[in-house]
Amino acid sequence: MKKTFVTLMALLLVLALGSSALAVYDPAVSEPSAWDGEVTTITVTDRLPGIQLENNPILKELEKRIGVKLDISVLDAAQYNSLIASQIAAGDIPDMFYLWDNSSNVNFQKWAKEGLIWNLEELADKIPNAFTWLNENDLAYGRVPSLDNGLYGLPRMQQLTPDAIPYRGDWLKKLDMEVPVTADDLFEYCVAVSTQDPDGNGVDDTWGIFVTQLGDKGGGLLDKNIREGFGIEPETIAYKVIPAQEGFMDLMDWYHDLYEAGGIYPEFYLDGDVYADQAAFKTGKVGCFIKTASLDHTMQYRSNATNEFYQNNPDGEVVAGYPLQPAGTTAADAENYFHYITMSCWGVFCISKNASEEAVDAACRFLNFGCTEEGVHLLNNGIEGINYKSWDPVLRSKVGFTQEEKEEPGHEERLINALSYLMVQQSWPNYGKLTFGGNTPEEKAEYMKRYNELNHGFIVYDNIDTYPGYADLKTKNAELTTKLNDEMMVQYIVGGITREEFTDWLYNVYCPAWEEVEEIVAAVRGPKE
Amino acid sequence: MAIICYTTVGLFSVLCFLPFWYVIVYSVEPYALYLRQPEIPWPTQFSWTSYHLVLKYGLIWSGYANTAFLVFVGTPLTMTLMVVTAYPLTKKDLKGRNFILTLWVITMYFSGGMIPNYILVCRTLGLKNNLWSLILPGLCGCYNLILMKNYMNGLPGSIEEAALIDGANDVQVLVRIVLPLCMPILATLGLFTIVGYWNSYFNSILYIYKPNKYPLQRVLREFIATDMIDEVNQGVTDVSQQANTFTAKMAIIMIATLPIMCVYPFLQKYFMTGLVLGGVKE
Repeated sequence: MKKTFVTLMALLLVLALGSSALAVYDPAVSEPSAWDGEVTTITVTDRLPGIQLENNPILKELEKRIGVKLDISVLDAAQYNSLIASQIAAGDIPDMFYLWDNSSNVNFQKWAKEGLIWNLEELADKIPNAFTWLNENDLAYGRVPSLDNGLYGLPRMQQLTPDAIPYRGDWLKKLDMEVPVTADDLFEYCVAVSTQDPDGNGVDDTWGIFVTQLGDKGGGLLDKNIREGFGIEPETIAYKVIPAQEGFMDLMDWYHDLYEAGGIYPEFYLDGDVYADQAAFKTGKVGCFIKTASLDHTMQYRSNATNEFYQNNPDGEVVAGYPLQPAGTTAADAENYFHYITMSCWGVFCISKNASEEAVDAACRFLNFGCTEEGVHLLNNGIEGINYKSWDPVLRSKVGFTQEEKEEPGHEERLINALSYLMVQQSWPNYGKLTFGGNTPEEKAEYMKRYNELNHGFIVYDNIDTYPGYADLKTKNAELTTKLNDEMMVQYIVGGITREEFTDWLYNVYCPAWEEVEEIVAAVRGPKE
Repeated sequence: MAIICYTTVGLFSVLCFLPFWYVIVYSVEPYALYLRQPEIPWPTQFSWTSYHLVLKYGLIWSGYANTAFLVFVGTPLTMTLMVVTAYPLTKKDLKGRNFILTLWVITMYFSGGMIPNYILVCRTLGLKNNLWSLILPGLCGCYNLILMKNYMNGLPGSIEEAALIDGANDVQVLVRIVLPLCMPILATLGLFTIVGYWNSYFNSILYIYKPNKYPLQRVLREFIATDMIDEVNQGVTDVSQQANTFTAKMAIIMIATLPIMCVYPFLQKYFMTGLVLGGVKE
């Protein structure tokens, strides 16, 4: 049953990705929407750091196309959610606001219960696109289970980013090794990088891997790129939290042995910077990293994302490896190997119950428009001739202005950025990537090819964060989570505590506290087979 | 002994200066060089790309204009209100003087809280997105008021009495006799106020939601706290010409602090004297 489900989901995703890859929205030939009614102004709160709102051509275009004038309040990005909560507590509720969180947010649930925000299902006829653009998994991020699972926020779903491990291709060649496929391969590569001086500077100053430990589920140490090599599944598939699964201690032993062999950057646990791993990779200190935040490993050529790497390593090369596969499999098995991914929700849009009827209509028009290819394109990429020179619908890429064009009078107006933070959806349909990188048509085509290659064989699973009851359990066990992430795992890996001490705490204290997970998952997906 | 003192103070000065020096170095050094040698004491290559792009960024200039408004409008208002509040409070025959002073002192220890303040400023006074919301709530601080009052208390009463006998009224005594004698404390508190307005950002987080109304330090904060490099690089398609997040942050720190740094050495002596002025009641 599980295998059938997985296969079905995989086929659905492959079809979805295939169709998104073929989607060729072209603003040059598509007729833009036009609004002939009265323009309605609505107050909106959003997180738009640094965007210039005065004379922003996209805002004016919204008035023309959907008759909505956005009066945007920009809240401090670092304290966004607290400021929204303060404003609402002070009775100053904007007509529409973006909450940088999802349904697990306590305030969001409170506002829904207090009747301060609309159940969007009551407005479904005004935002039909949202219900076709998003599937039930996506909508779960905006639902409040305790209120008949009502949809009180419209989730903003991110584009699918390929999961992969970036390696030093040039070092692999020097070491006469292939891109690692299993955990054993990765172990061998990391130790070789640490001991065989692949940068050839005669100094023992390179390490195999840098692992960051940030994140509420163990961060990089438990990253799915690595853990799947040990047969560890997502909570909603396994009906157990990760540390309670069989492969967890195998993974911890692997880290422990790798640390002992000198394969891990020795002070990985000290640096709290989310980009520390990338910085170590870019400076040529490590052979790979697994918290793939912004280095776009689908590219082997110079681009914005990899520029710093190539500046530091002119003869270097980045290659992307698939997430680790179970022991005994080879690269050839990748075609048949499924990798679990969950889609990322970056906040929800809410409509105030205090808003006038006209404002509610206008807010719905905006959200509905944001769930169209035209809306996604306008809000993310802007307008042809202003925010970019032209749009390549096949390579899904903006073509920039030439140097001469930049020197033309009036070019300054083109510098006003698109409203990417105000996007209602941050992907093409079915999580398709919005734009493809690269500086030349060849690079862009290569990027697209690699992106689609890396996305093969992925299946989407539910994020347990959206399951009723999990948020409460997570809050109840917050101290245990912190202790596991910040103390116990690292202590065991670096040899600060023995295996017995670790497993004793893990199986007698930590895991029993999470047993409820099985019930939580079963309540949504039925009993585990 | 003197050598030890000079060495200790000198080393401490270097320690204080070092982070700032590194901000300067990193702001003009290509990021690739920084990554290779973060501890390098001076730049071996110069790149002005970050300054060039950051200075083109519109919010920097609106930030300067808004901060200039706060400094040039807020400071005279603050000083005026402080003087006209402190002077009557020095008069022992003022009815209810102790009660009024107590009310002032209470504000030093208790505030209304964030939400009541928000309701007062934004909803009652209607100052949301208005630069006056950054001036009015803190127009006269109790701490500075007490310093001013204590300094005035220390002035010889006989001078005022002589002026009154010569026919001056209370306003003339304040303007022509007391204020000229208060120049040291006025200069010191004026400087505190200018620096306070220049560095203020927190109230703007609560009351200002339009980026073109951000004071400079808020622009700096947003830039440092969030990654606004895309906005700075907007329109620059050539990757090699784009600013890097890190160097752009260093450049914007320099741009936001340079003016006050240029003024500071000339006013430093007032800061030194200001630490004791009005602090002692004789």
